[in-house]
Amino acid sequence: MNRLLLVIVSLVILALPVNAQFTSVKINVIGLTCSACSFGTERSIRQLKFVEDVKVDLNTNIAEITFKKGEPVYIDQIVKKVYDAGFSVGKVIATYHFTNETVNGKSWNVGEDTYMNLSTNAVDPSGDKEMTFVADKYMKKSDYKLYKPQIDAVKMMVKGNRSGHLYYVAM
Amino acid sequence: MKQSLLLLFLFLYSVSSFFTQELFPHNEPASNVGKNVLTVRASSEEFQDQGEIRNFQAYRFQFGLSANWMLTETFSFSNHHGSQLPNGFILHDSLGAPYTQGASRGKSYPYLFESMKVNLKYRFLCRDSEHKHFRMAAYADFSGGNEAHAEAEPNLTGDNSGMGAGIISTLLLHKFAASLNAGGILPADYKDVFRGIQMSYGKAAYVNLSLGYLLYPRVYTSYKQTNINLYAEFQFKTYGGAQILENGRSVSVQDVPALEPGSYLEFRPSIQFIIRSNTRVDLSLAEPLVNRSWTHYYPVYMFSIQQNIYFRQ
Repeated sequence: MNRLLLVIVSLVILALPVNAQFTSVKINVIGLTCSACSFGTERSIRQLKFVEDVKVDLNTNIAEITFKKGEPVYIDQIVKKVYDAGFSVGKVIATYHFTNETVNGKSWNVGEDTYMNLSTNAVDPSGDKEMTFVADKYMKKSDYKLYKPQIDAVKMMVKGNRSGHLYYVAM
Repeated sequence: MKQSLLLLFLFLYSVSSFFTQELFPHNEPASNVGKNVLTVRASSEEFQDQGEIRNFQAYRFQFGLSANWMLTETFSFSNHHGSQLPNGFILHDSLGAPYTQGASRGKSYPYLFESMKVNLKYRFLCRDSEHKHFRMAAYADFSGGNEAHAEAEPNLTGDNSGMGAGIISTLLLHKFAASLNAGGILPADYKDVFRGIQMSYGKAAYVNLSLGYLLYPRVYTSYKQTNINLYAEFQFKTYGGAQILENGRSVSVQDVPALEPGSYLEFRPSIQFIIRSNTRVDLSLAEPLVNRSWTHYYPVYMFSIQQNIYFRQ
């Protein structure tokens, strides 16, 4: 009986998703000037259950978001909340806590997801590191255009079936 | 006209050195409220009609279906009209031919439910950048009411049943913002089967220009700061004349400006207080710049209070 319990517990632990260790994120919300608009965006982000706190600088419209410990964090859900509030995202800078990840050249895996650094800097997989997300809805269109040729080249190389997401970052 | 254009230019020039806001009291911007956000607004308008105080009240519910789609319902009440055209609205000459001199002014009417208007707005363009955006939206209005509007000029928020549509372009450019709302109204006919009266209202086209700026605070420190915004809105409307039939016979309109085709430009300045970044209070008035509207007397005083309610997804 005890052995069966041990097997079940082990299976449950193995089945838990492995999540990237984001400790905080700064999002530059664009397309707004009024505090009522910032308020609406903050309320929208606060609805996410993994969000601990949101602090918005009303003059720069940069939202600093911290996360509840132990909760899986989904950056894409935060970005969606900004768009749902009626505004856009100009920049996403996340702080990532490295814990024994194996970096293969410019990329590393977290569960099924892959993170790839597009900048020329080497990835130092220790402690807290800031990274800017590089994606169409995660940054200003003019900034994304600069990375587009690089992303297209990577896509050509990593074609094939992937179960997880491939996130491009600059660090 | 030249004078009003000059005033408009001077105003545009003067606001260009301030931050502006687009929470216009009398016109919707191209932006919508956020997804799953409900705004509830109660508004009241008053003017004097030859000693009689005319009051109009509207209760508006706006809901963000998504970032791009928004549904608005407005229920309105007023003492502007009766549920039927007043007795004596249609007279007969010595040969029995029908004619009208319009509804007499200053007449007392009971306070009645006027109409329900449904507005569906779709934001089809959104170009956001740091402290600026350009957005465009298209909308359609559907209105159903039960009052007997006695003027040619149609108005879907209260006076008439019917439908309308328009396009809004809103520009926010660092220190300058403006919104243009252009549309048309197709009013439904009023029919009094019992008395054999049918009244067709003029079709209308309108162009509204809205501008505003943030007076206070100069620098944001918290959500608790009360924001004070000033607005200037210019409403231009042109409409056709009313056509009235009594038992199939055309009713002649004898020198009644309120029933004839018309166009006018109205100026609506407002002051707005946004309390705790969530409650909005607007105080404004309307004055004519070129010609006038015959659906109300001037000045029209307006007050509204609005609250946002955020729903969980």
